[in-house]
Amino acid sequence: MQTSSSLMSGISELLLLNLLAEREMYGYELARTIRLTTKDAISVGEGVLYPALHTLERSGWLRARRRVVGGRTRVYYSLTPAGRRRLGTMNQEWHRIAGGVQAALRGDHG
Amino acid sequence: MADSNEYERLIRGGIAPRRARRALREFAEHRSDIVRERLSLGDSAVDSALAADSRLGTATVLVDNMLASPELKSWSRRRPWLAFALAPVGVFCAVFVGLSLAILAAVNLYKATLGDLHAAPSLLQGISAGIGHAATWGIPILVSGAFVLAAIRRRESSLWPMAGVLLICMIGGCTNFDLVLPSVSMTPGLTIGIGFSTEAPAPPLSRAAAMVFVTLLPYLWARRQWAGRGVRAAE
Repeated sequence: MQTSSSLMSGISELLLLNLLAEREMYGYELARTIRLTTKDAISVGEGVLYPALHTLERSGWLRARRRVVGGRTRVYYSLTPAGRRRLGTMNQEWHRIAGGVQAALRGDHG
Repeated sequence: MADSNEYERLIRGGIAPRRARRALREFAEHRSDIVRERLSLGDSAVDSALAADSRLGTATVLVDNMLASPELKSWSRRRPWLAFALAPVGVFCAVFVGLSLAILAAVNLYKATLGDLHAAPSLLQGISAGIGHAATWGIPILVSGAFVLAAIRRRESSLWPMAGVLLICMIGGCTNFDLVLPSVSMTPGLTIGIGFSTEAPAPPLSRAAAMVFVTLLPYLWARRQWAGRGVRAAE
């Protein structure tokens, strides 16, 4: 099913921030975790993952650091304090919208 | 070759060189991770590569997406007048003042540890003369050179870097820096100033012109080189 790209970009940001709130991860690990945790329902295009991560970093919500793991250099991303605040706001907003949509789908008009 | 073309596109699009290199490296590492994943699942090398291409897309897609994000443009691309005209002048002034303060501190330290500067040795006299030349010639050339080098690396248009060079060289041409150490028995002195006399405009103007020549000539040559490389990358 095709999903609206603007809606998906907001969801991608929400997903990325939520996953990185748990632990720092590198790009491939993030893409794989999204696929596994959402059971392939949501697939962040892996080619657009890096522009999204760099944009979040540039906005001050993520920080990136280079780490050598198993002989390979990885760029790990983690949340900054500003990113945690942003995540809190986004989560609230998401629950508000999701609650509204669910209510509409259930037919709660009263 | 593909990578260098994509790098060139990113830089010309206003992405900072460090960010461009990092994004392309992350992309390549991600691709090799997908290939490893598919190989470990028993796919052939060809199928693994196809799977990587299908999931990740090409580097061109990455570049297109990065260039479509205005947030990723470097601050020097957003404010080139600040990065390549005003900031160099600020750095030049800071280096000039910093060097002056360092020399004052060194002279005071010398006096405190070795007594008054009576008959400073000829080596010190030579060093003080060298510092004077470094301050009046070296600092403007090095600072403007560093900024034009940054402009070349970032593929900036030449307007603001050239304006920055002209400003620094004009100010640098008007600066005076004389550190006088006593040769027999006199008080040491440090004279620093900036001035332009309409009665004798030739010395500062010729000094400024020489510095502009020394800085801009290699810059314009380097610009021609990367302009040609950009055309080849586009082809």
